[in-house]
Amino acid sequence: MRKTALLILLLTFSAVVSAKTKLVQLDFSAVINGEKAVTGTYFHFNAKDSLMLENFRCYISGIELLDQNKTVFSESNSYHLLDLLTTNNQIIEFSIPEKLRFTHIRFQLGIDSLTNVSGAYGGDLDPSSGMYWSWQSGYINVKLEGKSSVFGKNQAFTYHLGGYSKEQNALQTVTLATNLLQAKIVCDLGNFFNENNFTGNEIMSPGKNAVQFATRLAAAFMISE
Amino acid sequence: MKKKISVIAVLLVFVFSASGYKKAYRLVYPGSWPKPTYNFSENPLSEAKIELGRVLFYDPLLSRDTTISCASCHSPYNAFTHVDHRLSHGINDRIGTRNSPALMNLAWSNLLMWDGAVNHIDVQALAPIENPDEMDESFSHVLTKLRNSNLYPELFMQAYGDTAITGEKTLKAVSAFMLTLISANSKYDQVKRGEAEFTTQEQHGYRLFLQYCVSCHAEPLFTNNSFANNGLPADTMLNDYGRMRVTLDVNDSLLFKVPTLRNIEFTYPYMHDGRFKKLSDVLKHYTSGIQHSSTLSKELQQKITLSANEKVDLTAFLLTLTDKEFMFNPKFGFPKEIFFNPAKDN
Repeated sequence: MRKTALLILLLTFSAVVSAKTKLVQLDFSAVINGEKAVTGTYFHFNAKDSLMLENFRCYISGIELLDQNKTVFSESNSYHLLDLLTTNNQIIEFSIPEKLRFTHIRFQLGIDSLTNVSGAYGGDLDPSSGMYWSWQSGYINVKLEGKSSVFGKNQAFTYHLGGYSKEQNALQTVTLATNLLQAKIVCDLGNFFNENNFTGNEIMSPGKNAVQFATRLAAAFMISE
Repeated sequence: MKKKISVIAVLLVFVFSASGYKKAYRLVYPGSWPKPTYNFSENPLSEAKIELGRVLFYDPLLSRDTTISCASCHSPYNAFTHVDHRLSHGINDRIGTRNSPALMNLAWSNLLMWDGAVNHIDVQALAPIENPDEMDESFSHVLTKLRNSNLYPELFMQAYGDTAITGEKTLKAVSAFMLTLISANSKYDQVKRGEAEFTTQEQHGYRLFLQYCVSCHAEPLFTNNSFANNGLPADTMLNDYGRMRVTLDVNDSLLFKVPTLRNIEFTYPYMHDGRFKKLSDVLKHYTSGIQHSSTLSKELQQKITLSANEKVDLTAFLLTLTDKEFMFNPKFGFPKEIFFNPAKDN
């Protein structure tokens, strides 16, 4: 009798303790006309214009899963520096409770303002990563560099988007509808350049231009079928 | 039972003494001062971390051509600023647009630089390292040089318990050293502690100070760490409009950080662009040189009148803010035993 009771107790205990989880994997990449973007190659994104990328790195942070409007999961220590031009897969993965259902993924393109005023951090947030301004404290949310005929023959563009304070806050929130455990999230640069709403070929400090550019770039992120 | 406890006790003692690198360092400052605003829980101080920071501070390896260290513009004998130069010069004698600020009592400062561009002391070092007119080096290349040196892996081991040299650890070590630069033993401080007395002249000067200056240069730090337009007309060559460059707000035009007046005797020339060589020039500005504009500090809207004698008295008071113990403290000075140790030659 005592043995059975002990066995039941142990099974219950182990069931509670070893709650099942499942893995979420978010695979980020940049595409032009459906092709994965890589450095150094010229891609044509419409009949007359081409685009060659040299650098496309960004911070993805504050990843959450939503069930309709409600947040049902928040990734802890959610700060990831992605290189969207490298041949290595840029996969962010984390475990969630097995029974958890979600309808949307939400993330921020950039780093939150509190982290921006709190000094030096390590790992992906290390200021030696080349994604931190030295002359004025703060993270560079996105670096997008290359050449495009949109600006003239073989003309370079350099976009360093950052800023966290009040009107200079360039942080963007992206919410995408999906319930897939393995979701492919792409930034469609071909489409982005095709829209050609550029006010110039350089942004290298916080301000209105950075905020506008970041808003448009965030809209280029979507779930890939 | 007793034996078990004593065995555990011995083990604990062994464990704690073995982790010597974690020996905590407590910042010492007057009990009457406000609490520091720096978050020490994110960067606990230890003797070894401070020492690593001190070595980094004095090491010209951090510059592109190994000629410029932090101490090049922040010399200990001048309260950690650059003297005899209006505008500080860096690599290849390049000059920038500003005079280097004096470093002291930094644990009470939130925003750094004359325009507050740096919002945390832990990321301050990035600015001079990467400025092409100062040290002209990339921070990631600094880390490469540190990793390749014979000296630093061992110092990082002592400070952090492993030899992995990261940006975060490097910056926090430099902060740790800078945070120890506390100046709190000038004649003024001794008077406040009842250990000394002002002369009549100094006492009179102190009264004038309290009347005209203390609203921005608040005791005991002699700055309220805010930004103000103190009526300096913009230099037409430098066109430096101060904090507005950072906030992009026109209301911040010509606002600069209120510097500390501690050790002011030794931190000439004065103001963000070093335009005043002597304290008498500064007093002359405040009595007859103020330029009015929409952003002029409200504390300076009324004209300040000082007689010649009053100016002398006020100056006498300002000289009581000199803290020689701070400027000549060997703990803050050049670590010659590290750099000139024959055993550590590369």
